[in-house]
Amino acid sequence: MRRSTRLVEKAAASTISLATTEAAEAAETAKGVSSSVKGSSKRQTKIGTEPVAKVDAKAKAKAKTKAKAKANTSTKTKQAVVPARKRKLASDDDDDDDDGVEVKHEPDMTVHKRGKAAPKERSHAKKKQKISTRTGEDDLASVEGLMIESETPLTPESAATAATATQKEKKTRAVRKKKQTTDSVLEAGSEAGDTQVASKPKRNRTISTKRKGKMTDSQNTEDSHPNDITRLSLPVNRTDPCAVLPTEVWHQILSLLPLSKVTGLSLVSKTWLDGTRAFPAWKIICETHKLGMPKLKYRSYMALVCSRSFWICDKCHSYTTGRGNVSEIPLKVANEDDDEFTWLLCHACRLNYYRRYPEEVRDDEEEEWQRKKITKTNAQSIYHLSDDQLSGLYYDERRNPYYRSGYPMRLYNRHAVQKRALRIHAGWVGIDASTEGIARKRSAAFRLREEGFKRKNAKASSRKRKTGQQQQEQTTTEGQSQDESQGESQSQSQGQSESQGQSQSQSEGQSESQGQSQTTGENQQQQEGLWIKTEDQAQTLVQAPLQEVVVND
Amino acid sequence: MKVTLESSDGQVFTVDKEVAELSVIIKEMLVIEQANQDHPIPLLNVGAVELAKVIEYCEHHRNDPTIDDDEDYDSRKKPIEMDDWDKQFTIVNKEMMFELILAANSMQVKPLLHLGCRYAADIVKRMSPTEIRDLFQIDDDFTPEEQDKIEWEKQWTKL
Repeated sequence: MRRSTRLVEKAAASTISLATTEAAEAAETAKGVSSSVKGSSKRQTKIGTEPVAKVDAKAKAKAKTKAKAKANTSTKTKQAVVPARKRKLASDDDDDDDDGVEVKHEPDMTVHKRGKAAPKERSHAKKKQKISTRTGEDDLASVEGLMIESETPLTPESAATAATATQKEKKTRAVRKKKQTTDSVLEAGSEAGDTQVASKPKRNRTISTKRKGKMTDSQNTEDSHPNDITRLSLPVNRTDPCAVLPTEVWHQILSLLPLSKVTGLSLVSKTWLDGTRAFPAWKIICETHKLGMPKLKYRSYMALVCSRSFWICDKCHSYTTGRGNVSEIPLKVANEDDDEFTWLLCHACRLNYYRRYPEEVRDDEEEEWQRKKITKTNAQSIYHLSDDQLSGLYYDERRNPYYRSGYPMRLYNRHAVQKRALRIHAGWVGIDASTEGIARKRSAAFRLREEGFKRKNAKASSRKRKTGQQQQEQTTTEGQSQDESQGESQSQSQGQSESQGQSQSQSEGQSESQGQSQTTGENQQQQEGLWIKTEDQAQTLVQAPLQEVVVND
Repeated sequence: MKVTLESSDGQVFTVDKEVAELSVIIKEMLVIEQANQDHPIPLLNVGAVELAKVIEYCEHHRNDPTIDDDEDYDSRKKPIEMDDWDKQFTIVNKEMMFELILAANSMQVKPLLHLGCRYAADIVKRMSPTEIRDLFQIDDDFTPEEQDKIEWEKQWTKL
């Protein structure tokens, strides 16, 4: 016994020389062992001796019963450790044969003092449990190793090993803490990521992961985004060409359609809208004809092209307003190449088309002479041809039927004039368009559309202004009521003589607030001239004077 | 000279080199791997059914003049005439036609791809948005406000 205590003291000394707090603790625990050994020796005399094997068995049984709360792994290690230590203590003790008594207290105390050490031990056991539950199977071995080292009998070597063990344990704790922090950070990150998708169910999931034990980062990230899988596994409509076909193929399909039809397809669904808006032709048209960039008014290239749709050819995507020649604007043609589907073709495209599919001349006139001949005036008015355009055509000169002394009448061959007109105006469509004045109508329609847009915007802005004014009025009335209530409360608390002065000040306050409201009103009027883009802006405009009023009160 | 083509299902098709060379991809592969012509050319994105159809088309059009430039295939300038055989060839269900388009796109059989695109365009052309939705079983996911906005945007050819 004495030897053991000496050794323990030596061990304590050596641990102090190591100058670590852990070593000091180890020494204390060693003292505790010595005391326990003393206590046990007293009891040993009463109980008597028992063989070592039986003692082992008893110890095992008691360890099992007492350490119910402890994890299975920790109990196993203890059972493995106890006999070795017993043997050492037995060898140290000359007189002691009764190791069984010591073993009785072994599971409770091991190397710590009784009483004071017991709660520590329990807490330590709890910590162990926590560790065993927190860490996975991979970490269990290291934890067991630490426990074995801490529970070995105290010698100078063992004290040193205990010190190193505590250091190791500290290190492992630090590593574990780091891991926990990283896990928590990852979890927090995953939670933050999930708040965009769904905030509430995420918390339960993190708790469950903690309960489950150690999770790898990949597992955490996988669990944190469960909706990703559902997003990916969304069923694709295999019959929807816009969803099934690649973008370039879809654009090739769109290129086979007139632009007017492409815009019509945008109404099918949002996918189709995106598909049509992504059609590169819109941007090319805008860039080549300098139609501008999509802004507030027209927010996409498609919308921008649609705004100028009257002057863009479906086939060659040229832009002609028809200022020089009226028939140059794109006009509707029943395209025989496309099963007589209507295309909006410009002058050049129409000419190409009618070269392949020539149109017949018309014989609309009732009288026979009129079917064959046409006067110059009529040719110019009906077929919209100028003198220059009629030049080169054969004509007969007749005496003027109205004035004998007047210029002779020129009679052109009607069919020849029609053919010339068809060539100049690119088909009957062009001639009809120039007679009906479609170019003028279109420009008028364009102007109407622009005005409509302005009116629309004006309505929206006026609505915003009205709402802003209403809110401002509300705030001013609230401010006034607050002034009044405050003034009343003050007047109640002070004397009547003072109340008069208060009322004066109140009236002053009111006048001030009114003045402020006037100034805010002026600000509002100044702001009215500006474009209030968003509701937030309108709210800030309204809220700003309210804050001022509150501060002054 | 024969060329062996292997579909994604593992089925092997043996065709003439002229027929196979209608596909730009196969033509380039044959140029690169001149020595290994005995090995089947794997077509991972094309199933057996689609590959059989593509081979059928290529065999019919084996004597057609080859077109190298993409510009020549711009239908706006030079529309391709569909003969009766092509019209018969396109009488398949929609899903099959879309699979054929995908196969032609992956194999780069340009005449077939153009034929498929033409087919799809013809389907869509004369239909209103509602009819298209019914045909392709597409859900209308627009709100009335959005629809009004788009309608306003596309005031096209009112006159």
